[in-house]
Amino acid sequence: MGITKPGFHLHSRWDLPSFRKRHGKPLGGRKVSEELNLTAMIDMFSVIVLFLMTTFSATGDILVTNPAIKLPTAANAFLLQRSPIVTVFEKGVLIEGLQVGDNSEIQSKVEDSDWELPLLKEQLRSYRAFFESADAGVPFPGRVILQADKKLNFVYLKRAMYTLVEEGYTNIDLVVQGEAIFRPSAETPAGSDAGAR
Amino acid sequence: MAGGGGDKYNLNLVPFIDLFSTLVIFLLSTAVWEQLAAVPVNLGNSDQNKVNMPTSKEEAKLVKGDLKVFIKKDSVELFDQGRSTRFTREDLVGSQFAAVVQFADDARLKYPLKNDVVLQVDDDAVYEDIVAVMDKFLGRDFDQLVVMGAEF
Repeated sequence: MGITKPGFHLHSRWDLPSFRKRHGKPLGGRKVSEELNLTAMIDMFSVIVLFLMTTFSATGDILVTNPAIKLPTAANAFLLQRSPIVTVFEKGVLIEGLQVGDNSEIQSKVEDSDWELPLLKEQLRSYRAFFESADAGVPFPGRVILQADKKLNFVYLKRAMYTLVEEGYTNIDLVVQGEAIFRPSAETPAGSDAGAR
Repeated sequence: MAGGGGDKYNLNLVPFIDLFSTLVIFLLSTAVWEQLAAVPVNLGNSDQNKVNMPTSKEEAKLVKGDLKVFIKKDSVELFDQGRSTRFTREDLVGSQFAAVVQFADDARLKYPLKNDVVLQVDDDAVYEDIVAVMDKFLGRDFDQLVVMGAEF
């Protein structure tokens, strides 16, 4: 007896050809599971991950710029270090968001009488006292971050700098837009001396 | 079957996609969208030890030189040992401060060990110009930039 193709399990008497046809190809010939093409999604994910990893900054945001300020740009800048942030506007001076000076009618202010910023001085002294109590034995770096609009006249900055220097904040970091290509050297973390490219 | 090659085996991409999603969320949440940096200013009476000082006659030749930049509202004047060259602001902005770059290049060749430049700035000078000039000198390794008011 030769080999024969297995037949149907149903008895021929109850054999239902149309049922068999439907059972063999369910849902009228369409497959139940469709494969989703993931290639495009993985491509997109790879591109996003690569982009985000190249722009990743381990130091994070040191400061958030005021939207009213348009910073100047620079191509040869240093990495920002955490220090008190002084913001100079045409209308006033802020330190860490706190208004400490009024710049209105600055041209009429006389350097001998109303040029100083006493509230700024007070805040700078308290920052210095905090630093010296927290880092006893470490020389005071005198570092401060200064941000101002790129179209501002120097006289506004000069007024803030005058008070900063009086209080011993002589290392001033002017905030600019651009990538930091210099890194302050490790042995003098507070200094503004040259670092490695 | 493996021998027949008829069956199709799919790579399980679920953990791969999970990992990618986690990475994307982490990187997006920690991304820094605005790149900020600092241009350091050394004010006149700050630590002078950072300025390169010559230790011998030979070194003195490489360090000496009195480089000054006088920045005004509408012009920039560059001084090298008293000799000055003046440029209008319009010309400098138009050429992206090419004259300052040239001056810094020449000074670097003349004084290879020098690292300080004095900037005397007028009250009306625009902050953007000051930063632009400082940027050009920083690019030529003049990293001790002393800023002074013009009247000093």
